[in-house]
Amino acid sequence: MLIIENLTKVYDNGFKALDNVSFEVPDGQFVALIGLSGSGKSTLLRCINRLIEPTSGRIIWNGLDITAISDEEIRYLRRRIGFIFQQFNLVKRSLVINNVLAGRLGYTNPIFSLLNYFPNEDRTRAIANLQRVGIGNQAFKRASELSGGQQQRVAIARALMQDPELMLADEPVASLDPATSHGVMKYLENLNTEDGLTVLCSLHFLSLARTYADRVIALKDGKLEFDGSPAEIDNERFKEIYGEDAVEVGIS
Amino acid sequence: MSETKNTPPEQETRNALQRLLIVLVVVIGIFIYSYGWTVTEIDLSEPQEEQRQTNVTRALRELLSPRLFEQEREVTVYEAPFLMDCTTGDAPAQATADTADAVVIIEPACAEANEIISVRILNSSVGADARLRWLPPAEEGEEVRERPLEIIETEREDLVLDARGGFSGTVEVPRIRGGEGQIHTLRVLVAIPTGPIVFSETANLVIERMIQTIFMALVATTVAIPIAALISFFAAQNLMKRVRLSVGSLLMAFILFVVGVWLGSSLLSFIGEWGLTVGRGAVFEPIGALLAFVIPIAVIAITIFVLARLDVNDPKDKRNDRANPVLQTINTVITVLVAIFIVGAIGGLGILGGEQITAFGDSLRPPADAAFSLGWVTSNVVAVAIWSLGNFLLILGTLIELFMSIISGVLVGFALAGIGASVLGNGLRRIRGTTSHILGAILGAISGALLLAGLSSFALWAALLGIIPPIIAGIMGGAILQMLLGRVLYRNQTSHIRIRNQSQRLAEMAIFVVGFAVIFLMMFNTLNIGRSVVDGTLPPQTLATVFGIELPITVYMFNTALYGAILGAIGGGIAGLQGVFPLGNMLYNTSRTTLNVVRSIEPLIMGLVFVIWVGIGPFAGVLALTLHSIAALGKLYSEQIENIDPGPIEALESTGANQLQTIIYAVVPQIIPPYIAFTMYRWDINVRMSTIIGFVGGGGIGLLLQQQINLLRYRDAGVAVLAIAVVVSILDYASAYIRERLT
Repeated sequence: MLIIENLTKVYDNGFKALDNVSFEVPDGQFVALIGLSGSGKSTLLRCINRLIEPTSGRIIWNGLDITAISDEEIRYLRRRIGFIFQQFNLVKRSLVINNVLAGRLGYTNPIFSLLNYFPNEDRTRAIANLQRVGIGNQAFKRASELSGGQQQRVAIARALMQDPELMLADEPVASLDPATSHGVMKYLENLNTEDGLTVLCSLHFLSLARTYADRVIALKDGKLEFDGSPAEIDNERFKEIYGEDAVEVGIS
Repeated sequence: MSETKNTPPEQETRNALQRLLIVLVVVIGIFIYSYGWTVTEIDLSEPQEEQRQTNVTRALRELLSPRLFEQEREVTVYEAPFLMDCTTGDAPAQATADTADAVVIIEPACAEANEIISVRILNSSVGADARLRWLPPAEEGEEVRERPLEIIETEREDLVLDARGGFSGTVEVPRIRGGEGQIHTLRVLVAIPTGPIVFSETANLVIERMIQTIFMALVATTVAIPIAALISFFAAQNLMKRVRLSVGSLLMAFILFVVGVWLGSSLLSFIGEWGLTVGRGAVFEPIGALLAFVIPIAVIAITIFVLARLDVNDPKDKRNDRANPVLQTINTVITVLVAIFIVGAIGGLGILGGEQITAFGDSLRPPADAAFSLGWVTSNVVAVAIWSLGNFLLILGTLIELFMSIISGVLVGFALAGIGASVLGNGLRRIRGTTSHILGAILGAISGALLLAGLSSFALWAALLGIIPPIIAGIMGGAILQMLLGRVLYRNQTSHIRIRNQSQRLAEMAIFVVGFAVIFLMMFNTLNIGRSVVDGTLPPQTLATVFGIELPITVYMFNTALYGAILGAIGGGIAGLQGVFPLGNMLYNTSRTTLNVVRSIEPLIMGLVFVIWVGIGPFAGVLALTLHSIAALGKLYSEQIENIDPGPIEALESTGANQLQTIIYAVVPQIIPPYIAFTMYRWDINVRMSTIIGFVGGGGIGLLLQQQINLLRYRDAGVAVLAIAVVVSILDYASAYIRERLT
């Protein structure tokens, strides 16, 4: 259970990215976060694993107040929270397998990391995770040699190495073409249905949210604008979220 | 743009004023620029002087005729007699022209000084080089002073014999005091090359020195790489700006660091000494035997135990989301003790191995008087290579031995600081309210006193460094005022992140300057630093007394520490234990400033100092180049870190990797290619620098070049200049090629 209570984030330059946002996510739900660019989706996701320090409010996950724990403790907590980025954030020059293994670093002894050593068990799992996202044969290529969709799947495999219970995804398909987008979203859906991971995923296209999400949370100017099932979003709601001039476009 | 047809009058005035201003600036600029030509004493009359032109032509001609090769020559001498002043007697008889022998004939055979006479050479060697010499008559037992003669037609001293081995030309009779009425001799030296063409002695020497020069650059660069790479992480803003620490953790860490350095360098360095003893294999010494056997075995057993225990967090235990402070502390302590021992053992092994290998290399060396053969060369090369390897190990081992107490001090210091920041710091996190401020003041006072007392020891060393403590104290003072202002301005904000507007930022800056100036001037006056800066004297060494008890520190250091304690107490008290300290920013600014200062000192100047320390020779040059390379590479490297893609760092942080792991897996792969490229570039610069570092005594080819230039041996200097040009341009192409391949 993830509980967000009155979360507010004000950046150094005075920009208020999140304004008193509160909601609860029960375990095993697939939640889509929607809203215009700059509405606070990325900030919200990054506050949850404290890549960004919230200004005020609380985030409680499995009964633990994430906003109150020390930097050392947050490291241990982050291991259980996967994060998928819009720009994949792979080390392009490194091998795919090394990128995937990097997801295991939170569990690895730092002294082993100095020697670039991972237990065999981890290596086997890395290959297994790559096979799971359908690119097991690309393990020993450089990450830069892969296509965008494949790179995002490497990022998913990396997050899987963490044994996550919660998966945060920040616009995971915004840099991909429609066909590839569905490929990546299917893997996220798969994690949700098969492994029972809670998924919190920000999306640009409402159509994707309608296809994959159990629940949609919309942000507008940092405030919670809508919280409900995807089917509840009709034309009127849509204009409230995206503004008067917006027209819903699909992604097939 | 038709809309701005009618500009308002004030706009026009402003435009006109602007134009006038531009003209004014240009005119002033021209004046300033022309003054530059005066200051640099540009004078076109000097280079037009005939004497200077002759000199420069000769120097350039010699430089461009480098003495690269040599050939043995057989010199044959022919002579012809000559009477100075025909009125004093009969002209001496010359050889006849109708002969098959090689002869020299002067015509006329008598003349007065400065008259022109003709010289003919007949039947000598075809195409041989020859020179003319004038020999005045010599007294008994007196040495004849030969004079070179210039041939009028060619204006040169040397000549080439024609296809029949002959030559004819004219020369001027030299004026020789007291030579009238005497028989002089005109001598012709004909040189016939006999031996093979070989590299000249100069060329061999230049090649030897050039190799030395290239290695100087190589050693300087390679030694600089790891140090610069380490510093570059601290000088990279993108990595450092995220490093923040609570005031409590920081003060705890700083105090424990100082304690750790003291502990490590005085009490615990014996572990390193054991390591050295064990590494050296001195197991048969009576007492050493026990220590050398028992302790390493114990240490290794502990190491194995620790490595097994180190995985504090069992990956299978999903609930283990907290670090265990006790285990963490024990692990750190044992790891650091093992590390000290291992460093010592490596040093000892280096010394042992170095001694053995150099001895082995010496034993391989063939006798110096043996006949020259391929086998001799091979065994010599092998012996030198093995000896060098041993010597290298020996130097590294000795280096560790020399710095053992410092190494263990720093290791223990960092270990204790780490424990202080994480374990104790976490404990301090729970303290809030007034207690937090009181504890902050106490810790702040101790830290401030330690910091400024440490800095004042620099000031006791050189006069100019005396302004460092007031500067640091001034920064502390400015920061304190800024904090006070912050408490007024941002009363309503709970978070440590301040939201400011432009005027608030300005006010903060202004108040910082005020605080800095006040504390700086106060300290400057109380410590009487003005006197030491003006006179270049050091602070007095009188010991401090408090309540009649003499302290083991000087008054100067005591007062500085007092300032630090007061400022630290105020700062720590205001901030409280939970205040946020931008440690990363501080490290960034300190390392950047240091790099910039060191980089601005030319290696030539550093070379001058190192020559005093280690004597004239390549070692001084290597030290100077290394120091400069560290600063230059540190800056270049850190800029590369600032240019990396931040995405992977964010990604790895989100997986729960710690900062070290993030750097190894997200930063290092991205910076390796640019690091190699910049290292090549630096090596290239170092080769160029090392060619001239010899001018201040730094060894290498520069030393040779300077000697040759001072002796006016331009043909030999030419060889060195040529070698420098060839090597530098080859390296230029090579490094450009490698850089292109990498980036």
